Amino acid sequence: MAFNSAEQEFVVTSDVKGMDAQQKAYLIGLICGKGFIYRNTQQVAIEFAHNNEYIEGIAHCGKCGYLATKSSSGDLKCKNQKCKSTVPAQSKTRYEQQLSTRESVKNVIAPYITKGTKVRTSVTGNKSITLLVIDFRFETELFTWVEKQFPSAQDYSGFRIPDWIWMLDYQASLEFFNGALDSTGYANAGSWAPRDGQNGTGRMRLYLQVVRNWGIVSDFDSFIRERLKKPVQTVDWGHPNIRDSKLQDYRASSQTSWAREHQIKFFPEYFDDCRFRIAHKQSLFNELLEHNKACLFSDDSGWFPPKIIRESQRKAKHPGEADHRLPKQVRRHFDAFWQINLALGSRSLEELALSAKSSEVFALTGDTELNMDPHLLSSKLEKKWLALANEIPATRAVSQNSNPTRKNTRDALEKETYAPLVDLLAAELRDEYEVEPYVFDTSSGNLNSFISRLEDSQLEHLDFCATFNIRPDVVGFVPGLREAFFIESKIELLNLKHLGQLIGYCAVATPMRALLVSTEPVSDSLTRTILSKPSVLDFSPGRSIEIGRFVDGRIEYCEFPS
Amino acid sequence: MNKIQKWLENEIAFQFSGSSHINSWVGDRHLKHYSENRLLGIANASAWEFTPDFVAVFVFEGSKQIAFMNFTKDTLGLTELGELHVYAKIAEPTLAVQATASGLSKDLYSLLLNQGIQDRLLGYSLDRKILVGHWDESKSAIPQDSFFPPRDI
Repeated sequence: MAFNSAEQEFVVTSDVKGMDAQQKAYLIGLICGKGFIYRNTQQVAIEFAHNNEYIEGIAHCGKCGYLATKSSSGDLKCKNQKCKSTVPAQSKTRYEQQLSTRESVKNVIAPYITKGTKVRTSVTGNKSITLLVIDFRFETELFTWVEKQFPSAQDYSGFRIPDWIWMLDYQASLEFFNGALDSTGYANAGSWAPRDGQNGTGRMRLYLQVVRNWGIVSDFDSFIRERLKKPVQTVDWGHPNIRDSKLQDYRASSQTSWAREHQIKFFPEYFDDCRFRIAHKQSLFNELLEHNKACLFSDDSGWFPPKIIRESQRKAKHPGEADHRLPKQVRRHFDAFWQINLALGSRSLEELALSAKSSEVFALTGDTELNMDPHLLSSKLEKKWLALANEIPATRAVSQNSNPTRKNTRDALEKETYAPLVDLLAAELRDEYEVEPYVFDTSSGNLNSFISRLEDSQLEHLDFCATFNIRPDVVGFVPGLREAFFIESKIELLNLKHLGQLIGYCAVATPMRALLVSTEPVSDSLTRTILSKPSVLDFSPGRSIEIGRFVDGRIEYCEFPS
Repeated sequence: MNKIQKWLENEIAFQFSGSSHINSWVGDRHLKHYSENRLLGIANASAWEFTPDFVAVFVFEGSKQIAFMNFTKDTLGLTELGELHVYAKIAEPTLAVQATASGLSKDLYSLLLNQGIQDRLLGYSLDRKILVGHWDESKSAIPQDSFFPPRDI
């Protein structure tokens, strides 16, 4: 996105009254980080995470002032090799997060974004999140403007930085970034890079943490470098070659440990004109900043342009490279994080690639001067990646739970019903619709996460379910029908609680059919309740839950006279 | 009297101005067992084979009414809310409250902000919806501003 002139900026920012450009930029930053847009209620919600009640600051050695970190014995040890003193754990400042977040959202963030508008806010939450709900029902023009910034998605997992943001002046750009910092930025004393300065060691970092959304990570990285002119140190992608490059987790039975959040990391000393509006985050940011300044680290211009990938930096081929959870553009091997940025369309990298003697060779090596047959290079590298994987020791035994609990046993027995139920539902749908259906065991996670991992050819039939964060055991779809079919399976007497669970799922997704099934009969109590009030099974007009028993490999449907 | 019971009685008095004979108890057995005494006069109570955490009866505009309240110390999820939804659909109480001491799960927040889902999940009869609120132990109450969806409009 090219930087546009101030004249264009005026045109863009003056079309909606109420908020000034900096307020709007801040709001868009919040939304990009952790926002949800509810188009039918004209509301926007922003989630602020605080998983732990407290977060700790930096421990410094009382004798030499160096960073102290936890040693293998559990004590804090000074990192200065000449000192190595034990440092008391109390030397760290503790920052309370939950109340601080709630108060900052209520007293600082909400007043800032509502200033000069009729927008209303409410703040709610639980011990791990604070939720700011922004109600635009009295500012419909403003809501329409917000909606237009995010035309193709309704929550942060699919947002990209809107075009408007790339046109802003520096101060408004900074406010956009401040918004992203508040909703998805973290100051964390544990996230230091092993660097030595003139007066200390351990270079502290801030980071933006992004869940699932690959595109916006690339956007944030570009925005920081190109619009704020600040260095990004690195991007930790949730990709198998980056997060588990030596297959340690994979071989130790945690095969998908790589499938986690992405982090864009940067040094606070280049961001001292940015601010968190959440009080404890700002305090911790100041602490990290002071540490880095005192250590006198050498200048760091960030990762761009990338360095040439050395042979020792090549990574082992990871079976997860083909995982469907990865977007197609990055469902392959990478040796350096920036190659992922390039695959996702980083403009600065694409320009660099175009200026290279061979853009394909550059993509594989980071070398702009090297010119050779890219196919030959590719096949050579493929062999190298395989050889590296083969050098890694064979799989360790997966630990077995020697003392299964009753719940584990029950869960295991229930799981055994899923595969045959998948087959039965598939057969029913095939018979009824005369087309090959998609039927899945979705019990292991939320339906929306499951769907996001499917192939595009499947996704086009199921995208209408892509926002349903519910977890029925078995879900079926019929191509072209845009309807879902649910099965919730149990291995005990069916009761009202089981019905309530499936009613909840159905209220969310309104499937065409929903079956509550058990290997055991329906409890007498549930039978009597349904007989006395058949409408208890209804979940939307004309649609009701069906009850069945899964016995001898088939489903016996229960009949209840209405 | 349990402080949650006390809050429920106060809420009934607040929401149904002029109501009388408010009497609440902690759910300890299926409601059908109360059909001959506390729930006498409430239609179909003898068929109610479920146990809300708290129950209240009261007289409003000349007729006997019932209220349910479920309470969880933990973060509230879809399953718990679905359970109260079923109870409410069966008995169609005048008031149904789901309280949580730890707030709503992230997923549930996200779902309830969708108007259609909110209507289906909380609505249990033509004009009645379950109230979801965050129990504040320090105030022994569900603050009015914690109800979901927000009540300030």
